Amino acid sequence: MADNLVLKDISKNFDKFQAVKKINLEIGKGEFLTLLGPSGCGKTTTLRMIAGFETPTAGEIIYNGNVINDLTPQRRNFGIVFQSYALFPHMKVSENVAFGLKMHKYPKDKITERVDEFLNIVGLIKHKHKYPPELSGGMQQRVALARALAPSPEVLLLDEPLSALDAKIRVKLRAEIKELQTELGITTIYVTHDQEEALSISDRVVIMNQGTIEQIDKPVEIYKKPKSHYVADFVGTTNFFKGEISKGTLICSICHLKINSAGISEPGKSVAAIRPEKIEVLKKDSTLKENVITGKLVVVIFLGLIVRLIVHKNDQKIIVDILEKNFTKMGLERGQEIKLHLPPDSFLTFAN
Amino acid sequence: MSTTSTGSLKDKRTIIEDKYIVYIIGGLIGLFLIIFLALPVLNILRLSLTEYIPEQHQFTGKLSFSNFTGYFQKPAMVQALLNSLWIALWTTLFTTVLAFIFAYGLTRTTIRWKKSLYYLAMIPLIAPSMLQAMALISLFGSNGLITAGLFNTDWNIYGPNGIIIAEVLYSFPHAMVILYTTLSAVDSRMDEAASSLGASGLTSFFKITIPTSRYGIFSAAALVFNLAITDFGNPIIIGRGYRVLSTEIYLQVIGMQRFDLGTTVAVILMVPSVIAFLLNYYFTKKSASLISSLANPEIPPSRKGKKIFFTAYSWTIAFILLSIVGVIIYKSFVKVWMYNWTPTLAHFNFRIPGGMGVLWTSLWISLTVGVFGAIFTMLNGYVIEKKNPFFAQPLYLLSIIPAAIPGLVMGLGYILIYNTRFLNLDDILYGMPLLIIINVIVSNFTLGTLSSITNMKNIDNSMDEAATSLGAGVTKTFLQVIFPLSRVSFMSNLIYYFMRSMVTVSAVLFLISPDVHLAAVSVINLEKDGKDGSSAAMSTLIMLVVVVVLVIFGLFTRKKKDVVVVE
Repeated sequence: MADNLVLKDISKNFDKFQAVKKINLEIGKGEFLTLLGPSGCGKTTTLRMIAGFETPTAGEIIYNGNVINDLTPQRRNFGIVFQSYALFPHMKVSENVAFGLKMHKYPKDKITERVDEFLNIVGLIKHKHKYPPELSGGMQQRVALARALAPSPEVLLLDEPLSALDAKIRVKLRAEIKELQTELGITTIYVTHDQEEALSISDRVVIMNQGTIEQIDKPVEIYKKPKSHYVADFVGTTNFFKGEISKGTLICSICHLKINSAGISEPGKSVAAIRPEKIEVLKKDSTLKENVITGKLVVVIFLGLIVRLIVHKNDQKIIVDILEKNFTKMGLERGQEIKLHLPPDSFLTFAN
Repeated sequence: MSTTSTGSLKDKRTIIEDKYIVYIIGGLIGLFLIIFLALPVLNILRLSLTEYIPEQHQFTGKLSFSNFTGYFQKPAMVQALLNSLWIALWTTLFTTVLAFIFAYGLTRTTIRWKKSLYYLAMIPLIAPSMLQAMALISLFGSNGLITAGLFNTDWNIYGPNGIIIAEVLYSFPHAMVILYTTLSAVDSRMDEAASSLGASGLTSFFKITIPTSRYGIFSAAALVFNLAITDFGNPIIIGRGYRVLSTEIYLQVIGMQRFDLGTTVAVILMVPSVIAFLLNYYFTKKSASLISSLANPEIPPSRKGKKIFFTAYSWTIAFILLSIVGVIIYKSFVKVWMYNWTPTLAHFNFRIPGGMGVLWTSLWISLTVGVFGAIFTMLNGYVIEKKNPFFAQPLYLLSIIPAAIPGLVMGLGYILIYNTRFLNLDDILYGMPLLIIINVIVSNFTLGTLSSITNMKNIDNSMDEAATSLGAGVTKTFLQVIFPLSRVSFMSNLIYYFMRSMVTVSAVLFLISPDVHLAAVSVINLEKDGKDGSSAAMSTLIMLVVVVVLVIFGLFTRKKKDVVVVE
């Protein structure tokens, strides 16, 4: 993919607070890129700099080879969708969608045509004469999407567009956004703190933490090969074992684990991580000894297809996900002592 | 379709950047305030420190403290300062207590007719500030309906007691609004928690309600103090030789052409007034920080005794405020108060320069003030809150100072700069009452700007950003998005300015000219000439005009489809 939008050594300070610290990012044409991180990690500030609402303190924003740092938002021609929808409440749905077209001096008949076209795409043509406050949150966000896309922006920026909606609509709408984006082939930058959303919708995900980028990768890589303790912790659920490592073995207060992981070369303090679904629950009569931890099953959480078990071994909590049918088959019960097997190949290790 | 072209990006036309439009508008407002606020006030300070030759009515230009030393050597003038403080302190005490109980009844008990009581408490706002004094004289003066008529006593209300009562009635709604806001915002669940822990009603009142609303109480008290010490209308009517600072400024300047004493007294008056303003400002900020955004749960039904007490109390206050207005209205329709109760319209035949025309002058001036005041303060709020240019802080400071400066002082400041032999703005503009209009706008700039800033805060920033990202410049964003969303705030600022302009006396007293007469000032002149029937009639007309315009504006704002501002 040709790089469309490049952030080069971008920093942003607010007084003494450094919100974004010298980040570098290259976004390809038509790519769907998500900035993911907890609040205060700098993801929204980054998006706002791309939009032109904030000027970088240092570094360059380059679009198609031109530095656009000083270009005002109205001349960037980037479409933006806000968490709060930001629809103009005093204008009808159709007038909202027409607003950008008018500002870009489209001819009248063309405006009507495009407004109808985009309201059709988002399925709200029936509501074109209503005012935004008369619509549900999900509908309002669809209008906002139509409004942002109608003037043919070159880049689409979405700032937590689904956070204000309830769970079901969120899942539905994110599929719609993805579909629309693919169809239009528009370069899209999406900001969210919801990892599930980020992983399900993006071509690549940027994990941000305290103004820096921790990792940029495809969703599946982010999940399977987190590059840092932070990413492993932030994305998905992970069990961590802190201890001393030497010769492929991690020794911690409750464990003595053999680990086959590329990450470990130097001996010393280390953290081994394993996802809950990688841990196996052994039958009582299993004779397996290596990498087995016996603990007390304290909590059982039913999640539908899978069951999440929380097992206590001294102070350490171990989270285990097993299929519901296996859970039932094995007749596991709360309070029981159970044997867990942690396969050596399923570990990732990070420096502590 | 995603790729139109990158032309728009390469095309860096040298059109005026939005930034400069904001700079120009903010700069013009700032300049306006410097010229019509900072300069006149600073000039008064300068003149008070300048030597003056009374015989020639001229300042020599030499630096001197003689005005102040002279002031403090005249016992009568020192007395005026003490009198002013006396009046202001008692007024502050009475008004704050009375208004607090009233506001408590409206916010923390389950008495009925709360909305009506709230509006009745606002009545004094539609009347000129000497109306209370006029009504008190009609009731308790040497020829008053109650003193002379009912009890046939020689006791009368003139002097300090009269001024204090008049000021209490005048400042009541101002304090009530602040206390009402405070009490309805402070979480009343704390009271419930206290009572569930075993505190009696009275204990939780003194241990919880009063302490949690203390900043609101202080802020109301400081505002009342400021109003009482700077008011001119009531003391001039009911004082009868009891001199206070505000009347002193007027008498020295208009009566004796002593600009030295006028400016000196003005500076002395500004000291308590500025202090009161700063306290008010400080406590308002403090109070706002305590306000929780939690919705108040339903108030539990009040005990019967409590309900009876607060109902009786509130209606007594409402009745008093209503009868003040009622007395004046009634008085304007009877031939001679206390002697001949025959109905008549004769008082409406005003034998004053300008005649009935003064009312129309006041009306159009007030509408002009309303429109321009609302526009200026709205633009000001937008620049300060939404655009935040590098000079936002000083502009904000300039915008809130007017509340600290008594209108009378500002008016004096104007004539000393803009109405002199060397520069006469009114002459230049062929007798247009420009200075009057400007003074009323500037005098009330604080509240206008603050309410406009609040309004701007309520409009989500992303509204502005959405419009910008869709290609709208700052002008289009303002006209097509921000202004329509601020319609309600704009109208309420317009109404506020209109009302202030219709009833103000002190701000315009020095600025009326032989060509321009205003209704509220005519009320004072008529009253002082002994034509109290006509002054009552003029007051009645002023109130009528204000009410009619309020109703028209009310219908106008309600007719349009109300839209919700999405947060």
